[in-house]
Amino acid sequence: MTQEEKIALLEDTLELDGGTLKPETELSSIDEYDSMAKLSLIVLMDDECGKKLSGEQIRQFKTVQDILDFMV
Amino acid sequence: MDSMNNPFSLSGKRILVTGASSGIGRTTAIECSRMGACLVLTGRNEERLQETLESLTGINHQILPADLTDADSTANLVERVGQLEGVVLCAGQGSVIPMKLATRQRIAPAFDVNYFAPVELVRLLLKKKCLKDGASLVFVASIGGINAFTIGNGVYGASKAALNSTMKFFALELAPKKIRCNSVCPGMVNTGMITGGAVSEEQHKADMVTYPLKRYGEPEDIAYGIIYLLSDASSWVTGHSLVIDGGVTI
Repeated sequence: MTQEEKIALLEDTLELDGGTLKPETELSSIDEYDSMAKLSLIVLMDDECGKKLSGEQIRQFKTVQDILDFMV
Repeated sequence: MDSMNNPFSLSGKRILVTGASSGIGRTTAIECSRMGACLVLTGRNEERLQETLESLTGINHQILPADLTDADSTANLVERVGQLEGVVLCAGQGSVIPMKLATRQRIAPAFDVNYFAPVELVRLLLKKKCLKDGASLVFVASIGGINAFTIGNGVYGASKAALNSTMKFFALELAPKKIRCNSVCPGMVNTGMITGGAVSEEQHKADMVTYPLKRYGEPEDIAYGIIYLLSDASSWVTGHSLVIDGGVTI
């Protein structure tokens, strides 16, 4: 997946308009990044990237880039 | 109460436990053996089943590895399992999916393992006449989907609610043969199903405090309820869901 595709997927998951997220965006500044969004992230990581994302790992994510780095 | 007439004893009973390679299934098998039962252990992982076998008290126990989501594997197990006085359906799988993402494809694995597998196993055991009159079936359901509802737990909850419902229909249909069917509905229990998953350690710690008894369950807490339901002490109990949850659903 390209960086653009990953960001688009994230925006889609968080139900944000295209172009809202930048790699350096702090997750704490995104209202939509709530507990349900985090659960959705887990489902998507599994389906799209075949990677298991745990609640512990999600706690480590501080910026959008942290999530992008996890999405290989 | 002398040991010769202990109504909670499982002495003389041959019991099949699914999901016996870990978690609630493993502990249940071990505790049943301590109550005098003869165990037949099944699960997918032969090595871990062997470990459970080695932890059992007593003799004449056996392992029969099987994948209960596979028709041939299940049929093969039923061919070899012999006559049973008890069955404990512990094999289960967690699932965390917000309902808005719950496509049929994403729902399927939880239902395959948590609903279709145990129901099909029981159906085949009945068809092959493996269950003696007066036998006891115990389904491990959950408070999730039945008494407790949390975001992300919809698919898992639905699979357990379906299983719990079906348990009651089995109870009605099998009552003429005096075969009792009940479920245990655990709250959060400290097993591999809850670690390293969607819920972090920190979230678990916060959640534990909401339990009136201030802790999560241990597998033994569930095993003892299962033993009661397997034993003659519960001879007049069928179609019942025994909630074992530290009081969290009060």
